[in-house]
Amino acid sequence: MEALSAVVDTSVLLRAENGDAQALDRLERLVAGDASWGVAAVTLYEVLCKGSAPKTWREFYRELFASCEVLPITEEIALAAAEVNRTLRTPLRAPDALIAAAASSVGAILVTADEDFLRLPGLAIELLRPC
Amino acid sequence: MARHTTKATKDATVNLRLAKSERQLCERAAERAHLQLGTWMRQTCLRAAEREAGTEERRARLLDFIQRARSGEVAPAKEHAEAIALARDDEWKR
Repeated sequence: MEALSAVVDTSVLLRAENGDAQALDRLERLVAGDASWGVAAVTLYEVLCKGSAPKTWREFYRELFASCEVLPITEEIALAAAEVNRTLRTPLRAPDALIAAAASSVGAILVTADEDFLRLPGLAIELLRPC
Repeated sequence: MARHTTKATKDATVNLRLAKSERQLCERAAERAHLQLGTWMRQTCLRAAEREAGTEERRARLLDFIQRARSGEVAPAKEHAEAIALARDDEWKR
């Protein structure tokens, strides 16, 4: 997998669904830009697993995920996520640990709205301001 | 591709300067595809151009959606976002 400039966390997409201008602006810059970016496969699961997603947003996600890299949860990423959570006093939620490990695996900045990621030493993070 | 099912007049030419090694690389790929070099290069370039055009169209649709979401023309999906946020806490307990 080639190096990516950014990996977008699920929390950013949820903020976008809420109409948050900062999250929408960030997505706009990524979509409009030429740099490669991506999401972890677990993010696809998270935003598409509920039947309550409006059709407009489901179609948006289908195109969004087709336009970026989707990082698979490989053995290497699963092991890295497990290692991170083993060492934390309060582990991250499983999808967050997998997303963080996926971002690290490609040397990307993790774009997130979730301050919980700040507990991870060594992970490059771009934190969106709270709403 | 539908484009190749009708015989179009191919009277436009493109001069392409290649290093000897690059030409050999292309020739080997064409041989593997059982095509003449010119045919292989034409088909390969057209496929790349069509893919690029599709990418640009998708990018335009995505940017349009984002702008409409920002302006409120696309309704927020607040209930869905809340359901996902709750699921993150409930279904993936630490």
